[in-house]
Amino acid sequence: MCMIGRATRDASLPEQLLFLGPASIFFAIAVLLPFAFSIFYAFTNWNGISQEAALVGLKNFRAAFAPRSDFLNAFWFTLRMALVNIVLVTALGTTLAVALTTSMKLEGAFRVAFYLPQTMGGLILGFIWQFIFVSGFPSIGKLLCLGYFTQQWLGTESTAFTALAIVSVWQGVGYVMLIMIAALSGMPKEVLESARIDGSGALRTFVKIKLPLCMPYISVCLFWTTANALKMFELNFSLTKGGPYGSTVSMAMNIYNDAFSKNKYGLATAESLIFFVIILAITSLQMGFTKRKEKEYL
Amino acid sequence: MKGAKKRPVLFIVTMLFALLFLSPLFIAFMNSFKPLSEIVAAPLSLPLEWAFSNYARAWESIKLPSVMFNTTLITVFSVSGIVLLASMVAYWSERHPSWYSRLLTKALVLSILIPFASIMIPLVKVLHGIHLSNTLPGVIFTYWGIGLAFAYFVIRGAVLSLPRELEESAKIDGCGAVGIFAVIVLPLLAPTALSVSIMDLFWIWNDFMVPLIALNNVDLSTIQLAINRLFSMYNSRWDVALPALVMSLVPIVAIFLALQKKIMGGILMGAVKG
Repeated sequence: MCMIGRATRDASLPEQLLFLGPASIFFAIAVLLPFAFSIFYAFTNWNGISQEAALVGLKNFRAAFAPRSDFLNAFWFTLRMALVNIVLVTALGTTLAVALTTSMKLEGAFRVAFYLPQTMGGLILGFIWQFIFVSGFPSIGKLLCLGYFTQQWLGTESTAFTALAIVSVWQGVGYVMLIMIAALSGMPKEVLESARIDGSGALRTFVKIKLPLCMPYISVCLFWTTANALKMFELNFSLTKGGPYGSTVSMAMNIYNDAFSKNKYGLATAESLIFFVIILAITSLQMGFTKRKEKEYL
Repeated sequence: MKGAKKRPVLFIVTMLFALLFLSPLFIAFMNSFKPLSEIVAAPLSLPLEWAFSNYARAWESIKLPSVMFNTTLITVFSVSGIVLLASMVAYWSERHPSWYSRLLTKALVLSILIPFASIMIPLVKVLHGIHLSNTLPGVIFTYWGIGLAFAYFVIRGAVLSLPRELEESAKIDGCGAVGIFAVIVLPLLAPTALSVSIMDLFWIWNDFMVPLIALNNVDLSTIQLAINRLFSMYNSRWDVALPALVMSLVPIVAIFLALQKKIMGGILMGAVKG
């Protein structure tokens, strides 16, 4: 059956190299080296073109945090968008999951329908929705005589934010629905049955039994939604291009712009480090919180 | 309960919501068959005149066969490489732990939190340094590197639940580590590997950021890059843009619809384990 290699009691060095070497190399190329370089370039005035880069201390970090800087605007936008997403995607996804675990007709088809946007790239969906906002919404507005729809959706700051929120929530609910369907259909029937016999009402059963059992799944959803919203890039790129007046530039997009269109590589790498620290902080905070919640319920 | 009680209202509400939910895709699809004048005049109506020539024009302008080929090539090589490398690391570091394997796996797990935007700028420089910038291998290696961490994380869980007995007996039969891995371990990891592959397939096929920074070469464009370029060239030419968007979605949506149960199951498994 096996002809390659001989029985070895301990791992030999060549085998260790064979198993871990390639992975180490590609991990180093794509992640470790760039990350290490980021830390270095963040303290320089590198412009991406010239070979030299002079150390400038904390200048880039000060520029990133200067009052009303692009970075802070992008941070504020991303934070608001993440919040809207966390609330709406979780609420809507869970509602759909509850509806689709009631042995309804066409349940399978509905699941596929709500999951469909998840299979499509953010760039493509952004362009499709650009058409909807530019051509579709005004026509709906005229048809139904609703002024709200006929406005320039991608042209004002507040409506552009709403537009992005609509599309990102629309894209995200399918994932949460899928996870929450698994959570709800994995409920032990006996427990629910005995709760019912003991006279526990629907609300009480939900709060005392269903919710705690769902907690691990809810944390998965929260993590996913938060990470997704914080890393938002493609949708802004295609739907609003960050406009109007840079009001919908996400953190990732701001880093991209500063580096690749403004050639401020030093500043951009500093921002990318801050971006990493922010994600790290929010994720750890969330991890601590959900761990505690899960324990409380056990 | 248990389906005995019908809820017609809930069903109708869900149905209406589903139709509303899918309407943007449907509207875009319908308009892709109209001549531009009709798209502008009546975007909500069905096509009066079916302009199939839109599709021919869009096919030409994004060079569909070539971009599909590039995207498929990148996706297939990236996904299979990620899964193979991650399985190797997961297996080896569980069965033959050493100081190095512990270091590597710790670094991998920690790196899950690094967003791509945090490393993309120097990545261009690194790829340039090893003469792989703007090449398909450069993009594929990048995916291997950044996809490894999550895949390792999920596959490690599967390795932990493998029975050691099979491997032990193979060892007694004189089987080396490579043989044990290839003949015994890999097949047992297949369900988990498949689940990871599905998640990575959708990620890489739809990804725009990596090709955007690492593939600045028109001939090597992926479908995402081609669509982006189309939009920067023909602004408001929806009669070209919409068919291009529809065509770009056909392969991935076809795969999803054909294998929906497997795909949703696989994504669920990866999500809950990861």
